[in-house]
Amino acid sequence: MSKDFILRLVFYSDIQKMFEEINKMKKAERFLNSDVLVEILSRIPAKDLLHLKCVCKEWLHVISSRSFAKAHLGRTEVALTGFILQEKFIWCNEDIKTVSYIPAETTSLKVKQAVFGFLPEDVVVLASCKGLVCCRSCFPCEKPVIYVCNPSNREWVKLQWPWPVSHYDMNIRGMALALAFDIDPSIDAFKLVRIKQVEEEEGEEEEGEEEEEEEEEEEGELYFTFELYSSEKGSWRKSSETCQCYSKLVKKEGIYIGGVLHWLTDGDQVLTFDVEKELAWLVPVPVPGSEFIAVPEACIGESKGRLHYVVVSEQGVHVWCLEDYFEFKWEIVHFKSLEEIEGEWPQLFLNLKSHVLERVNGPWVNPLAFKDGLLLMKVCENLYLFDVKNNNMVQACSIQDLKSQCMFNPIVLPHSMSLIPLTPA
Amino acid sequence: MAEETESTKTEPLKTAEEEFKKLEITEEEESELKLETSDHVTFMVEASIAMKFGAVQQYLEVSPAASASATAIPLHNVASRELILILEYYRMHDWVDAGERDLKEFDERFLKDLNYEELKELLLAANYLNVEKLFNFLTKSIANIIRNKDVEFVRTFFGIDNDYTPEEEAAYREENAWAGVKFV
Repeated sequence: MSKDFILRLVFYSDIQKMFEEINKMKKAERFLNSDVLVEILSRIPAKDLLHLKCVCKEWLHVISSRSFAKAHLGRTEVALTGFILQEKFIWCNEDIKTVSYIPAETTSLKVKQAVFGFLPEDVVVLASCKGLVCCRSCFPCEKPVIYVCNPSNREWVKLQWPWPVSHYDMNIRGMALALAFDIDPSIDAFKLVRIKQVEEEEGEEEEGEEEEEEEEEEEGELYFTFELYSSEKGSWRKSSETCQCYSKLVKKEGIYIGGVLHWLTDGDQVLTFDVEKELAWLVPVPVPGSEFIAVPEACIGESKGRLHYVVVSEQGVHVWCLEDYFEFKWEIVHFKSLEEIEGEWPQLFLNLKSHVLERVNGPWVNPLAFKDGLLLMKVCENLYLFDVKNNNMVQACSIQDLKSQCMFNPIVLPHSMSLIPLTPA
Repeated sequence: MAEETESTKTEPLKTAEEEFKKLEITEEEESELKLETSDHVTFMVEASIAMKFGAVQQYLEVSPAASASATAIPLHNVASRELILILEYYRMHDWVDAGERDLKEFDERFLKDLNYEELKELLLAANYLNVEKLFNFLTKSIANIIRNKDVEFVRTFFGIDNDYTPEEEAAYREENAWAGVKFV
């Protein structure tokens, strides 16, 4: 050791230079071993951290650790990174297995598949909340399960399927399951809420899931019921809260904002459910669909911690924000007419108005999802990303990019990558 | 400083509060601390600024006599080059008349004048001195520099050797490909 040192002394005629060299080596080492590295990396959004795992094993170790995940959650905002899209057949009992991920970037957009390749089987996505995704086994399936996973760190937990399964059960296939999760460093627990529309029969408790919705045509009181799963308790429980409502859910994705879940119904109402207090109520949308000539297409989403309602009609694209939950006060935050859209992006759109008014096999113009000011919208054969605030429109992809089989009524989940860890049960 | 007095002359109706702040500053400027860097350069630094350095605070807690006496407080891991920059940063950010826009412009220029090597050195010095504001500013800046860069750039930036086998590296890249991340 000391011999080596003397040799190096001889080698370096310039002693000053040698000291500098040693100093530099020491500093590089200090850089990597100290908390400084964590301080830097914890300020980088999750999306950009994924590829930094490839820098070296030390970095992989740091980025994958739970303590780092916690530091990271405290430092960086969990913001929209893309949309998860999965199509479904309307009448066929089989699930479509292809899941696509559309990055929310205005440059170098490329649709990717194989997001959930780390799970032991093909899945159908149901909900996404702060980086966590809830999905179920594809049907037909003998023993389906529910997964809650985080594609960023490829961690997942498996939950038992609590409901009876029959192979041709449309109810189960189209079921709405929402994920409620709050970022809280002391608790890493999530909740699942299954929402179901049932008919209240007089003097009789409803039972047997298969028959319930088939008799919808007959007069009867329709209610939404709520079943809750808490990862802390590890069990399902039926809430005593119900909500009388005769309309159906249009887009099954539940939007979770500050403790409250939201679903859009076809009756000009948004169904809301406070997960903690277990209270459900209906919020009417700002403008009823009958006000428009076209059949308006709408979606709901979260932006700046508030519920937003996006509706596309012959007038254009309206974006509303819910200011007050109890007085049903909506405020319009954005409007762009179809003529303006065509005028500003003539290379992208043509004959928008007739597309909105025409309906062949479903809507031609359809707002699919909205999050953090970004609207994913389908127009004919293409999907577009519309940055509402910055007035920027890009073509996200075509239906071919989605390896499409049936673009009628896809599940679209806004996804915000995060490093939230999941402890297997 | 000359500019400052001039502006008060032209606007004699400046609030008393501002006048008071200025008085405070001149008062504080009177008490100074002696700091000695790793390359044995001695600096006389305003106590109001020096006391923002965690390392100085700590030193004075252990030996409170140093604040009054002529003995210099040694900063073993900070060279004079870095200390000059740190003082420049804190003098600007301490200046009462500096508006938000001035500070933003200053920060941008401050960062532009540093090359990557100096930036890293300065971060280490800030870490050692335990100066929170500058440290946060530098970590954020470095995070911004590397967040959109490819892996090879990041390795060169930090002088890190790749210890993955090509197969391992390819596997990790494949795993994260869905997220639309850019690789080399």
